[in-house]
Amino acid sequence: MTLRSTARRRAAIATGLSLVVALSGCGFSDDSGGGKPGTVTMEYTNVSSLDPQRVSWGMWLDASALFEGLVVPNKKGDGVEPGVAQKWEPSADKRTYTFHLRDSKWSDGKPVTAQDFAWSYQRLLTPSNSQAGTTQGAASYLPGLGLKGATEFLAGTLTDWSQVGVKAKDDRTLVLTLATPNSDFLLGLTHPSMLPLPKHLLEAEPQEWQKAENWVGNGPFTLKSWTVNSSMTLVPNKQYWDKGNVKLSQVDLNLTEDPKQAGVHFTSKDADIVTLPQPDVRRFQQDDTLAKQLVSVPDSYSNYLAVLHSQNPALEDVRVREALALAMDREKVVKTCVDCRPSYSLVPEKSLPGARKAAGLEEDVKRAKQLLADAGFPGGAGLPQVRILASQPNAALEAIVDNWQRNLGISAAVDVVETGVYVERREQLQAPDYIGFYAGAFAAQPTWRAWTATQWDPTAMQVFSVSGADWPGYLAAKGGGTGLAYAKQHASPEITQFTEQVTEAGGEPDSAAAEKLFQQAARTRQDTYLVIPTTYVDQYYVVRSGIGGVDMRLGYLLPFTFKGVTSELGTN
Amino acid sequence: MLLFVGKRLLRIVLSLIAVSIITFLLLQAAPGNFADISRIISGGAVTSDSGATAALQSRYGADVPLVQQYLKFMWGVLTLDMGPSYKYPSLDVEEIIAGAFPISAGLAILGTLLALVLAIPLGALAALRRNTALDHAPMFLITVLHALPSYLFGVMLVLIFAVGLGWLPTSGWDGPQNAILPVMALGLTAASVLARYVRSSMLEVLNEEYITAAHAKGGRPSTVVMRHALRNSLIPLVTFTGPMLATLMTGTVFIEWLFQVPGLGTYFADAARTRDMPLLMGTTLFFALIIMLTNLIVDLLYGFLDPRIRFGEGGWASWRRQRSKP
Repeated sequence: MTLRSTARRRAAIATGLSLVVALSGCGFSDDSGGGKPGTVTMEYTNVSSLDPQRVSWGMWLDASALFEGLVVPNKKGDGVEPGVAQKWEPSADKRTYTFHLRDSKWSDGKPVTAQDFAWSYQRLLTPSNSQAGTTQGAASYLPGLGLKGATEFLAGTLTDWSQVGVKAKDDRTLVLTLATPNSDFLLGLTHPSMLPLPKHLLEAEPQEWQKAENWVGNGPFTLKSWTVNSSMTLVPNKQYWDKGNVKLSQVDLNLTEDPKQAGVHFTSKDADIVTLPQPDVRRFQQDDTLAKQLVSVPDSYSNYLAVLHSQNPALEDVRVREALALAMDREKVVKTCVDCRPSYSLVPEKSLPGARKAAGLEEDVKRAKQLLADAGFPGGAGLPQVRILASQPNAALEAIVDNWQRNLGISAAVDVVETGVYVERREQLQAPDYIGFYAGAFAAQPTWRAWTATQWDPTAMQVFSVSGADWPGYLAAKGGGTGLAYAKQHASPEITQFTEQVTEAGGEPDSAAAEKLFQQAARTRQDTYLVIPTTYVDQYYVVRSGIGGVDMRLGYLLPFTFKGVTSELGTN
Repeated sequence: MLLFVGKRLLRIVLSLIAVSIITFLLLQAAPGNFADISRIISGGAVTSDSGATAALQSRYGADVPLVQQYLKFMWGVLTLDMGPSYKYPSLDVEEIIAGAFPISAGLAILGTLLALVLAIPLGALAALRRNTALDHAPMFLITVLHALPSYLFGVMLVLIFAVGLGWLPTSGWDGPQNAILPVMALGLTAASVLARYVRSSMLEVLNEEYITAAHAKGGRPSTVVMRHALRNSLIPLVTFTGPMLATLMTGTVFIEWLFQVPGLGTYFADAARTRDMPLLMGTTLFFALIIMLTNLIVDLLYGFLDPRIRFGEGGWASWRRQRSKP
């Protein structure tokens, strides 16, 4: 071998090695706990922010591991247990709640105070001042909570924070005042947007407080590392007040943009807890070993069609909307999807038994045909093509369109468009030849109150009921920041009635009586057919044998908390 | 040569300005905005007043006239302070690029090396054994590989090596073992393109007179093939490999999604989807810069390798000649 070729070979080896070194030095996150006792690896939807006041998948992770609010949901998710608040007392009129905070600490050792909560709520209600840039609608959950002055402060009509029902009486006492009694108030406090934030950190690091090296939280776990778009590692928070009940030594989260691979990642043991995509559900159900590891969250999502605003008034006739709702053939529609079931009510029957009877619909093609004829479209004649606007192809929607055509003789089609187009078209006034609905999905809620005062609440329904003729006025008002006030003024009489019923129910101190009133309100809303229920989706998780304490709760996009989870993986 | 490089760099700057204007205008014309799209894809409220959107716009200066917005961003590019992304509020755009690009580039470089290591011998062998089984078999495999999109090929690799054999992790970014499957997915697909290129280039060179002359002079067959044929047939490969490397560095988004690799492609695709203006502008300009610089390097390299190009019309040596003319 000549000297020259030896030198060349050495150079080649050196180049190769340096490339490998360069690649290994470029951000591998070496925190994998895979299979070690006490650790769990979960595949989770990619997270771009951990600000609990920003609507994203990150906020649900905050509530499940990184922060703890005044109260936490119980195992079933239909009630609460003490969190940072050791105890609380409602006033006799149930409008004032005094929370007594326990002696607890942030992960950096500083005390968690009532002022931290008050400061966080003020941040939430002041979107333009929010140091996260925007709350992106997290504050929109608040009207359902009923905090005194909150909606006014958020809208800017009230500027004096001292008038809002949030007071830190001293370091350990927080007083929250409501405009009207709310039987769901404590449960509402478990929403991620109501978590406390470490004021001292956010003031010192307004932009970089979410980085792992700066992270401070008060939840059972703390953020050890975060490789954005790839993985996250959580370890127990040594300062957590109830650390004796935190059983896991590490939680690894594989962040994914491509949830379709989850089944494969579970079987190859790269993840121990995954959300199973629909196409894999049947395969898992048919395999005895895998089926044992399946956990379902019934009625996790509810799919719906919401009416679009058009220059053509055909769909403004409730008879046409009702006809479409009654002639959908949902039993056939659900044959196109594994984990979905027919939905005859916006309020899911499984979590609230009796919902279909109290506020649902009964399919009836004969009646649907009659309604259509009464509205001036006998056999569909004269009705423009009915469209369903969607951002993703969906077999269930195609089935709905097919059934409409067959049952009613109308023309119908699904319009699948890019997300940005979908977002914009949902809002615009449609051309005279375009009528229809947009397809959407919502996470299910556990109570009647939540299903009427928070989900499809009066504000949202008022907007839906604005007529096509008034819609340009609404859009103009929206641009000026007064859209909701305009919608309230121009709402249909039925929705105004619904609004009054929800307000009345909200003011009812007796919870059984309040529930009855909420059911009546839900019935009024259902009968407008502005939003038509289509299917419920049962979400499936796969949890590896050996992992315990994964208690699924309704109403949370990450339906369990990591605190109670145990893992015996890797011990045998 | 300096003048040649200088002129080319000036052209790159002008092109970047054009790219930035076009991207900015297209983004303005695209339907939807960041606040509404993010709210809807993460399950937010159905209706919102314009409060949150307005707050967002004022924070990022999106409520000022378009020209001002554009100039503000471009000033950020010049001063390397493009500000935070809309979607990743705790990260500045330049920080995102600095963190994620080395990962994408690393995968692209290793993928290209793998492609070259496989493609050169395979292509050369196929050319030397033209119309025999040694030509047909590899070329058949290569055609199949070429027809498969790298994403689909990636899924197959996962099913074989991760799920079936259990040798490698399906996804993640915990160590060098995580880079193997993505590199294979990128490299093997690229190799299929390169091998066909090497084969046809080699066939062309083998028919040249100087190869016949080399044989006639009594050169050993292996020497003729290695020294004369292969070497010369590889020169055109430079023009092909450079842009391919740039494309892999910037276009590996599907592979990144499939293998959960935190590279720049994911940020880029996400920025376009959610109309994240700073991130989309930043990544687009960066990708444009990478592609143009790679092309410049390829042109210079080509000149070094082939004097005909160097001294030809527009080649960098021709500039010197023109300047030295009386």
